[in-house]
Amino acid sequence: MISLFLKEVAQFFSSLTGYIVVVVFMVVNGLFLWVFPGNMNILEAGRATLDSLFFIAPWVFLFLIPAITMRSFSEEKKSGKLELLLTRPLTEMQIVLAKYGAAVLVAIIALLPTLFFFISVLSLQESRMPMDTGATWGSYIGLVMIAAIYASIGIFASSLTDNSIIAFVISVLMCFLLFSGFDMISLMDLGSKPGIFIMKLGIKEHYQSISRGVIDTRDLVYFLSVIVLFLGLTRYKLKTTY
Amino acid sequence: MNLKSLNTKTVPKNLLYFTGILAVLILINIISQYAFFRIDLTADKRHSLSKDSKEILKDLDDVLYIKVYLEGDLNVDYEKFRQSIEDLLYEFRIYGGSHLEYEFANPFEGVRTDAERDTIILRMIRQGFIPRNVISTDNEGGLSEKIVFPSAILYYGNYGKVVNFLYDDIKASGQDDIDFSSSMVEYNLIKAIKVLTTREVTNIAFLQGHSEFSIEFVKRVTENLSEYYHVDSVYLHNRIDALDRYEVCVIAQPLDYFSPQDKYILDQYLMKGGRLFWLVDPIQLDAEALKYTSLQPTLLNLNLDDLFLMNGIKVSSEIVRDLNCEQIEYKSQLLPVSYFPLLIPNPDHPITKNLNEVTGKFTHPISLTKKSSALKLTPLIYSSENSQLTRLPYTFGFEDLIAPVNPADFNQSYQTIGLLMEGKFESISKINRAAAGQFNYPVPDPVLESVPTKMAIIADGDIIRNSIRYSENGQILPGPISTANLNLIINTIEYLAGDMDLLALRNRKFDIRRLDAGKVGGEENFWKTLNMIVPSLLVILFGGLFLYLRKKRYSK
Repeated sequence: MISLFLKEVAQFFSSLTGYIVVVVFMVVNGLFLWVFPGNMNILEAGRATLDSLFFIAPWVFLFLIPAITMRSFSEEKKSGKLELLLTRPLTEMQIVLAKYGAAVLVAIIALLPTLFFFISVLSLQESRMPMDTGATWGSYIGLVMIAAIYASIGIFASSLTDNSIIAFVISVLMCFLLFSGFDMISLMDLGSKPGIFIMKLGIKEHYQSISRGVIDTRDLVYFLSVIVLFLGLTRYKLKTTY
Repeated sequence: MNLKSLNTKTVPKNLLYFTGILAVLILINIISQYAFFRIDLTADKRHSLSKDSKEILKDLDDVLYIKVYLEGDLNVDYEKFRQSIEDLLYEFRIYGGSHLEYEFANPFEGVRTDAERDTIILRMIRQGFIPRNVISTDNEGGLSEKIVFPSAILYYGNYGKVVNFLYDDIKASGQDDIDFSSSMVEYNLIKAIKVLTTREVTNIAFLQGHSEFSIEFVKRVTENLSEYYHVDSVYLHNRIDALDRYEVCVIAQPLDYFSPQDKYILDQYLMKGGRLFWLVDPIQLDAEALKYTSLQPTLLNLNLDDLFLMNGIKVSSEIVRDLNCEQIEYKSQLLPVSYFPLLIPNPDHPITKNLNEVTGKFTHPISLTKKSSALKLTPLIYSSENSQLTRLPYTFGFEDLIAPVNPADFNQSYQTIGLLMEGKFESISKINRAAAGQFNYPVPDPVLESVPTKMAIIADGDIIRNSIRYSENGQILPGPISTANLNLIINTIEYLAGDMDLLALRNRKFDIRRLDAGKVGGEENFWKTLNMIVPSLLVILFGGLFLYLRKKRYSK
């Protein structure tokens, strides 16, 4: 299982596409945070926070993570390697976990260069009222959680088809609906109790809560549940198709 | 083995397995709603209860009952607001234990007719609840309007107190309003609990007898204070103990002479630990009246100079003009009035932190005449970089007010207008022994040096006043006051009264962490380029290293 995991990670970084995806992520974030004028711009706003990053990153992840995961099952299905993989002495769940773990690790590695923004703000902060690093790490945890959820959705989407482009489109759509869709539905006049319930089915509400710098077990349980749900669905799909 | 036959057999088993997972997940999520905990990673723990709040809740020795009227048919914003309050009360419960009970109630429970509803609304408004209109779109796309009470009532022993959670003067849009109010719920509840549990009410005196502002002129301040303090208008009438029961004495723009006796009473009040809050103008010039007529600025003889000099400060009769100033409309034009400066609040003191600019009218500079190691001095408000000291002409009219200025003259920066003094004060009796003998009855020997106490002085009386208008039968009606001015006065009084924990609790929500403009210092492009290039470069370096190592491994 470990070897499969390492192989998956190595595979991503062996292709040029992998690097292009991560560089694009950094460039988009860099442009919004430092160059483009507007209230996202850290220098213009003059605030010692990375709030703009944590606002933009979930939207960029919406494309980045599906790009990481789109080929994990679909490509192997197409090339017929999947049957080969299934004959290995690994359970379906182990295969899913190895591929999933690899995708999450790649996403975290892609996130690491943003720490440079963190360092920049730290070196520009006013020493009297320094940056709230605790809250920033909290937001990073939220971002990793979003990456982990998107990855589980991406893995599932990839198991549905042998066309990686279709897998990409499906997972972008599903990630978007889960991130923002429920939030939008809740704005319709459904009555307040159902409205709140629907809002809490979406990622945004929980992400915003954790972004404030508060780790709430209710949010963690939500994040983990969604991940388990999609990994379970993927396993179910593999079990029943092969 | 036939793959197909395997499939059909495994489907039900796997489906069952998957349904099991789903059921467990739903169950865990439901349980997690009831058994949860939070870790607050923020530097100032601003999403957790403050230490002072915890202490107050732990010290409850009777049942505190909180009834929140946010229940029933709300909209999503208010429902979220409700939940943030519920989360907070859940935490309150952890510290208050069995002494804290709360309930969410629908004020319109069981109401059928509009008449019944109106009766309830009227009754609640009478009790001090402030209703809010919530407008939402219904299913047919029409607009429906609901009345909501974002308020609670607290009971403790025989006492009750209504708390309204919603702030409306901070930002205009409904959304931010609720977000801001959510962050203030703890402050509002703790403030009310403090009042309910500390049976002793703090008394605040507004001194009268020297033509100070009467109550109508400071109505906005006193009505705000009386939510939590007992406010009196106090005449000294030669009584040496006239101020003894008051925590803070506010002297709001006196115009008349202070007799030696009055000065002695104030002096000894301070020596015994009383707190004085002066709002003084050495010159009388009614800014309001200037609209109608020219005035002769009069130098007042307040007889207070020695009291201030004794502790090293002097209020000058000069006037501070400032390029950073209020504008007034004249002949449909907005004209800057340098005599009405917009004063900068000291960002480093809890009283003035997060305040907007305070509007002054003919303000005077406070200067320091000697340094005293026993006193800690903190400027509260000051003029901007571009200010100037000037003397007023013999007559002063509206045209002087709006006369054009030469910006080059405004080179006397940062004049202190408001000052906080803390520590041990010296009595005027040290140099003027005679004062004590002025009374026609025996008074105690003067205390010559104070216990540690506080005094605040603002060299512009207009800052505390609200505008006024006259009703048809000639009565004075209080008008509005600038929010920043009001908050400055309230915060100062709260600080002087010793309610620092409340100030801290309120300020915690506003800490704004800024970049150091000096460090950015015109090198924006350097930081832009650095942050555009370095992260991408790191990715490419990582890639190069990874591919190199892999190649090396395979070539072995």
